[in-house]
Parts: sequence; C-alpha cells; structure tokens
Amino acid sequence: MVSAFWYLLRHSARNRLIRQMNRMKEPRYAISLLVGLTYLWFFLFHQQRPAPASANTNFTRLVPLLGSIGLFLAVARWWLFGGNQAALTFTPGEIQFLFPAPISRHSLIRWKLLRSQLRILLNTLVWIVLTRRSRPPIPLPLYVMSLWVMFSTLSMHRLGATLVRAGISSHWKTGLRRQVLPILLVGGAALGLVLTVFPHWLALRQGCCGLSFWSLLDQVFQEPAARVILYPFRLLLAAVAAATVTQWLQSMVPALVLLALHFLWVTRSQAVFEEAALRASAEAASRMARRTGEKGAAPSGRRAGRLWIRLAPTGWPGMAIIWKNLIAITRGSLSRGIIVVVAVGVAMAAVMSGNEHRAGIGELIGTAALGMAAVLAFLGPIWIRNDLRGDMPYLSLLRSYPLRGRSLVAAEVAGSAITLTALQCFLMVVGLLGLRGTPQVAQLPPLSVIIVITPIGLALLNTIGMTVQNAGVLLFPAWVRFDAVRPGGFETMGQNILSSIFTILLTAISLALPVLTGFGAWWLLNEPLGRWAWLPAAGSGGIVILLEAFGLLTWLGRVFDRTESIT
Amino acid sequence: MIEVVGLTKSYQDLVAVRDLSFRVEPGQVIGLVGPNGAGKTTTLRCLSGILPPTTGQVTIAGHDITREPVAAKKNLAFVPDEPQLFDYLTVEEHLQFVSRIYQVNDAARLSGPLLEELELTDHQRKLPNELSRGMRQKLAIACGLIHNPGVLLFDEPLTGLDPVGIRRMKDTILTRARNGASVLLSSHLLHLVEELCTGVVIIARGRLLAYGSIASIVANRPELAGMDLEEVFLAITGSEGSR
Repeated sequence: MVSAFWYLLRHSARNRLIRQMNRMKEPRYAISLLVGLTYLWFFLFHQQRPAPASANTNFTRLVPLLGSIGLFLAVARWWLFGGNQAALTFTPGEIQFLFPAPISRHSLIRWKLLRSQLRILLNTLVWIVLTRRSRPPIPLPLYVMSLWVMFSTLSMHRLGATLVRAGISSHWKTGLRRQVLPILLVGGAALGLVLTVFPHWLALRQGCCGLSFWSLLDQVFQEPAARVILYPFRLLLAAVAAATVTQWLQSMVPALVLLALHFLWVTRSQAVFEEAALRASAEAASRMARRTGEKGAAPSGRRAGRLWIRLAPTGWPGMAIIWKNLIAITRGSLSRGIIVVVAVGVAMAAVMSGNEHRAGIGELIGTAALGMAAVLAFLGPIWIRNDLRGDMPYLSLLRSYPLRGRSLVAAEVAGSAITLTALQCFLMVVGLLGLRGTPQVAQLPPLSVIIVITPIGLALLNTIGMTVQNAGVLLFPAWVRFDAVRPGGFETMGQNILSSIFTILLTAISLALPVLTGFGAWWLLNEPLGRWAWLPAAGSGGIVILLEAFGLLTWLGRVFDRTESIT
Repeated sequence: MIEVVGLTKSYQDLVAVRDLSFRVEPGQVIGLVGPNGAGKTTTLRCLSGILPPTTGQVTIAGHDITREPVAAKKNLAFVPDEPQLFDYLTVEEHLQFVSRIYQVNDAARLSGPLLEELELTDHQRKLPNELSRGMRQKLAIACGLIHNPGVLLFDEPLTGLDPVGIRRMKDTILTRARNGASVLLSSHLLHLVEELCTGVVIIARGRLLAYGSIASIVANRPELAGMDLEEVFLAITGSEGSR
C-alpha cells in the first residue's frame, strides 16, 4: 500500500511542477516568478539584520523557557479548543478513491503522515534560512535533523490530538474510553501549570514590564511540576539549540524516542475519524469554493444574523449591490478585522476618558488612532475587498442584471469606500479625542471644518483608491488576486507585489492633480481666509477627485460591459 | 418574445455558435437540445446578455440585447444550470436584492406566494450554504421569477430537484407560458422536453440542425416518421456527428 501512496505523492508533485513550469511560458507568470524570487532573495540574503540583542541577558536566558511555554500553549490549544481540523483534511480525490478502497484506517493515517512530510521539509528549509545568522555552531546536517524531528513530532502530535477529538465526537463513550490516557495526560499537564502559576499570578502582574517579571517567571517555571510538564517541549528545543555535537547527541536521543512514541501513538490510533475527516474536508472544499466562486459550495454551518438594513424595492438599482456588499462585510471574515480595529479604538477611548490627568497616554493613543486612519488611506483599499474583487466570480450573474456597467462598477466601489470611510472616521474621532487640548490640535483647522471636510475628503480619497483597485480587476484580471484562489508559490508572491505596487502608484498619480489643485487654492486663499482657507482648498480638490472618479467609473463601466470572463 | 437572427459567437479560433436563427413566441415553450458541447449554454448566455454575440441579432421583448441591454434584461430571467447565489444573503434577502435590481414595486406581496410555490417558505432566513442543492436551485428560480419576466431562459432547470420539485417546476414553467411568457429551456432530458415544449431547437457543433414542433420536423424528413423526440434527436445529431 505504501508504494501506491508513494506513487500518488510522487506523480502529484511532478505533475504540479510541470503545470507550474508550463505557466511560465506566459510572460505575466514568468515575470511574477522573477519578481517573487528576487524579493525573497533580497529579503533572505541581502537584508541587513540587526545584531542579536545581547543587552537583556535575563530575557535571552529565558528564550528556551518561553519557547517551551509557546509550544505547550499550541499543543494545549489543539487539545482543548480544536481548530486543527486541517490535520484531518483530505482532498476530494483522496475521499473518492481512498475512503471506499480496501485500506485500513492505519494506512490512511500513514498516508497523512507521508503527505505532511512535504510541508515539514519546507518548514525546515525556511527555518534554516531564517536562522542562518543565529543558528548554533553545530554541523548543518545535525541542525537540519533537529528541526525535522521537532516539526515532525509536533505534526504528529497535532494529528494525534485531532484523531482523539474526532474519536470522541464520533463515538462519545467508546471514543472517550479509548483515548482516556492522552486526555488525562494533557488535562493534568494543563492543570499542573495553572496550579504552578496561580499562586504567583499577582506577583507576576505587579512585576509586569520590568526585569523582575522575567526573573520571577523563570523562578516560577523552575518549580518541579512545571519542569516536568515542560520537559518534552524543552527536549525538542534542546536538540535545536544544542551548541556542541555532544550536547546535540545528548538531547537528540530522547527527542528521537519522543518522535518514535508519537509515531506509534498516531499509527496505532483506534480513533474513528472518517466522519470528522469528511466534515473537515467539506469545510475546506466549501471555503475554497466560496473563494473561487465555484458553485455548489458545501454547507459550512454558518448562520445568518438578524437583518440590519432593509432594502426598499425601488430606487437606484445599484443600491442593491451596495446593500449586498455591506451585509457581506458584517457576515464575512472581514468583519472580524473591523471589529478588532473598532475594539482597539473603543479601548483607546476608554483609556483616555478614564485617565484625563494622564495627558501623555491620550496623546499617544490619539496619535496612534490618527496614524491608523492615515495608514488605512493607503492600505485600506487593499484590505477591504468587498467589491468587484469579491464579486468577479459572479460575473455572469452580474452581467445578466439590467444595470449599466457604470452603475454596477460605481456601486461596487461605493460599498468598499463607505466601509473604509466609516472606519477611518471612527479612528479620527478617537484621535481627536486623544489629542484634545494638545498643541497639535491647535495647528489643525477649526473643529467644524474638520467635521464637515474629513468624511467627505476621506470618502473621495477612498473612492479613488477603491476605483483603482477595481480597475486592476477589470483591466488585468490575471494579475489581481480576487477572493479566489490562485496557484500558490513564488509567482503568486510576485503577482501580489506587482499589483500592489501598480495600484499604489496609480492611486498616487490619480491624487496628484486634486492635491495640486487643493494646494493651489489654499496658497491663494490662505492670507485672506486664514485657517478657513482649508475649506475652499478641500472643496476644489474634492471636485477634481469627483471628476476623475466619474471619468474612471464611466470608462470602467464600458470595460465591464465588454468583459466576458475573468480568466 | 425572443427573436434570434444569425447569431454567431466565436472565441478566438473556436466558433461556439454559428449563424443560429429562431423565434420563441409568447406562450411558447421551446426546448434547446443538443449533445455535449453543442453550444446550448453559449446560446443561452448570448440571449441573456452575459456574452455579447460576435455577429447576429438577439431581440428580447422587442429590445435588442446589444443596443438596449438594460431594457432587454428587465424583461428576461436566466436561470443557469448551477445556481449562482451570494454566500452572505439569506433566501429572503436574495429576493429583496433582486427586487431592487429589477425595480419590483410590489415585491413584498409577490415574494410570499413565490416562496410558497417553490417550497422555500420555511427556509427564508437561511443562507445558501444551509440549503440543499435542490433548494438552492429553487432559490435561483425564485430570483428569476420575482419580477414576472416576459422571457424565461432555463439551462437544465430540473437538475438537482426531487420528484415533487420536478413536478412543481414543470407546473411553474407551463403556468408562466400560459400567462404569456416566452420560455426557452435547454435540457438533456428529452422526455421532459417532449412533455413540456411546443417546439425544439436542435443544435450540434454550434449549428442549427432542426427547428420547429416535433411534428413539423418529422414532416420535413419522412425517414423520421413515427419516431419520438429521442429517436429524432439521435437520428439528426447522429447523422451530423458522422459527417
């Protein structure tokens, strides 16, 4: 059976490579590959790195401890919260051919292990390159082996944890009985660490952010219970961090034993995992299908929230597109990112309102919020993609609607621009709250001008930014990442770099004329109007942006009307 | 009414549809049949305005689909073989969305009976990923019917439906035709075409092989006398395929 698996792995890898090489015949992919590789080359080999920090020796000494705690937390997460269903994901082809085939569960698990080796070897390679300046002075092959053992053990542990959870969820009582030992071990370990840390929790909190925190942490984790619990994790890291061959040998032997034990545990697992594997695979396929716009995506169990805006049946039809995209933001993964930004903003505001006497904090937070709003002006159009970048997989559906191309493109752009503007306005409010009473605010135009101009200005700015992003989709669909999956690898990295550079450049060019116009108006009117000169300056710049956007959208609408496919 | 005159659609060197002409009058249900790769879906996509014809003219309810796309599209519904639905809109939100796109004044009044007709009433708050394949197909059909179009284009309309759904779908199509809609449907289910349709358009390799009622097609070819649609189809497309 192993030979069949090996055949599948070898030929799949070979065919994938051939397909990617064939793509290089097209200049756009060849150029992308070149850019991607160049970027990687400079990032890895030509970037000046700061010398390793040696000042904080207390912290440096704690790196193995922190590493082992990090590994423990990762492992505990796999056990307690799952979220590692990818470990059980099979491709549709594997499900079609391997699940009904006369293959034992153990063989299927061995196949998963074999397939995971590709990822482990890649991780090892990346890690070697990343640590090339700071790796321990042992021969490279020994270092490679240490990394391989560590990644393989972790990978097997992840798979093992997933199998146990799958077994329990499939057959609650018998599954629990079969897997009682590992559950007790992990549960006991987690409890042991909690009981170790708990008595010192207050002391740790009070010592936070100073050197005493690290010293105390070191002391806490020197206690016998913690040392025992973290021993396997220290073991894995010890081989990786070994400074001499002797040290390496001493730490490698137990690490290999640990790896062997994991192999035995996973390959002899009696867990009934097929149902969970099918579920995980369907989830993965559904996610993929949604990204590619493929029809018939499998259910994912996601439920709709309450309808928050009703849409009137008459009026400008493009509003339906905006409404749809705003709903999609509240229900999609983007909402999580926005919630994080808003939560950070709210937390900032809360800190400021409760600490009025601490002007420094308010100023710091206000500056940070304004900085975030400014950064979003450039990165927001790349980040918020609920427009044609998400809707192009529905091209044929959109084209069947009785809408002019210009209306449709304008509506798509507006949905994203509104979202981004609202987010920036929120950050601006937080920023102004933080900076109130500071000299920086005195330099700004009057508050009433800011309140009027800022949302309009941001909306116009974002309209241009989003229009340029959507222009990329329509004009160079093969170069832009839709919310669709493109073949991975260096060429995708190159494509992303190129498209980002082009769109930022185009946005800058589009903004040049409005900025010049606005600046000209301000220069002319600054003397007679004083601080109020911002108003006509922003107005004239805004009018130019509006004209530019109108022209661009009209042109892109025509392009949309001619677009037949996204390939 | 649908009027197709000399429709040709090419993709670079490949001619998917070649000089196709036919009409579908109000009240008619015409079946578009042909072997795999015959150009059925391309034809329907040209008729619905998704693909611009390379040459030729498509008129929907008196409006040229190329010159007056918005007016033409307001009068038609295209239901593809695989339902295309927005992941983040529920069933009722899909109908709201489409109502706004097509400016359906009395959407609230129409959507209830339509959901009832298509057995979607109990699924109004569900997202597409919570629906079965058949339910998704029904939702796509509901979205196509909410604006009461005069022209209906169906690409394999019964795919994924259960027997009750198939029966209801047949009734829906016939009811719409009786109310004056022009219906063009493509299907490989020839017994369905024979049962539902007043005429057929048989194409292969993008070319029109036969057009009209089965009786008129048989009348023009005496060698087909006494054959049902399946035998007529095999005889016509088989002889074409052997050329």
